[in-house]
Amino acid sequence: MECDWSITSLDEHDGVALVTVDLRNPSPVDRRVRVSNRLDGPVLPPRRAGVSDPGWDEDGFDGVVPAEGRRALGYACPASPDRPPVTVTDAGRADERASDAAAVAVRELGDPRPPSDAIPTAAGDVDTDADADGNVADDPEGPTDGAEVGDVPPAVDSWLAAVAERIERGERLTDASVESATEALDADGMDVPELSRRVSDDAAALRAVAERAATLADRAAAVDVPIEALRRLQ
Amino acid sequence: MIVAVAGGKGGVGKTTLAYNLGAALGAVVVDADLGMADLPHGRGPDLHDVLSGRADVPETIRDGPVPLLPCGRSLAGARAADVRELAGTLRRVETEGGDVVVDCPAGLRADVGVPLAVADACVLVASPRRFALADAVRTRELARELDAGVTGVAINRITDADDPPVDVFRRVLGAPVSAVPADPRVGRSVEAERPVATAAPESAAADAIRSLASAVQSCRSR
Repeated sequence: MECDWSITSLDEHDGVALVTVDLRNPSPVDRRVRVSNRLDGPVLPPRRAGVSDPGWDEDGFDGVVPAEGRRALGYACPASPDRPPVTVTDAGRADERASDAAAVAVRELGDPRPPSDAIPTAAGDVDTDADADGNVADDPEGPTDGAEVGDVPPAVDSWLAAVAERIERGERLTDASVESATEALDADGMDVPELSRRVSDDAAALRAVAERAATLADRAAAVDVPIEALRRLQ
Repeated sequence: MIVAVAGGKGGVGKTTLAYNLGAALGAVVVDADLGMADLPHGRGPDLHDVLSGRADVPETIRDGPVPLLPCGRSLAGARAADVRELAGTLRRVETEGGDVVVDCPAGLRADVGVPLAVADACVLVASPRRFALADAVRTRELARELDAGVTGVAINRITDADDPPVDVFRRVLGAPVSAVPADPRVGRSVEAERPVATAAPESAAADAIRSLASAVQSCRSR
């Protein structure tokens, strides 16, 4: 079995190598060949509809090169382009190997998994919760200035919004006249002892977060990476 | 022995039939509907966890009147599950628990193809309408392609108003046809985890299930 390989780095994607292997079989019989990846990363084989082409697995390719014929292969690998990228093993004369019916079924019928962009992410869940809370998150009078909302991670934003809502409800009952307190209670139908407990918990949590955030902000401000000096090291 | 319960259309009662067939055969019933599971789940790891390498087969089989291997219901779980692992998993269930009945999803994707590819036999489920025949034929073709012999066809949920085309089904599909009458006790059997053979052993539905089971059994001895 004769083989040539080439390895190139993928443009604009540092650390992804493209490997091609050209296999030639000068003998007069079909020969089975095993191409094993030597790079330090998983094989990303050619796929159709999310299913790998026949013969590919996590470590490389297994297939037949026809008599006096050739076969070209290619795959990607998220690893540095070390040389040589593959080991080619001649597995001898190709026999009629029974194909795995289950593997054929997956390849022919297509992967039944839902597409990855249909899966709600953690951030997506938080967004949904914030929306379910009503218009609090959209309220310009809310916990954060409108201009800064984009800067606060959604999880933090939605937590602050929920806290602000509870505080607001508490404020309406603080030093309220009988009339306005009754009105507020009627409107909310809230559990007053529960609200009071939650708001005092919120106060403690907010102080702890503020303290930690301030410490982190100080540390972040003190970070000074010598970019120029490091660039020379690279 | 691995028996796949399949049928092109959704909502024809594949899960109910698989559950009751599992009871009649003394088999473990596996919910292979990776996207829209039906069988009762309970707590603990499920088929999604096995197919994504997070759990082992024995810990996912739930004891009960009919032992079950349930499937998760989350999209994320369905995304993480690798259908290529399903064949090995079903064989593993067979080693652990004996006979296996696989409740296949609707459609003709790989999550139906893989159970059919590993199954020794296949039971088709169809609704008692003439147009249901086309779906059954498509699934039969896939089963044939993947070497799962059709041992029986269940025409499911027949009401008095129906005139089930039993002869047409038998002639076209070339397999014994069982007419399963609509019986609320069958419908309730999965949720109540009470197979109709226990709940109403004398009923016509229990009879039909028994005849499907004996057709499957006869395929074992061949």
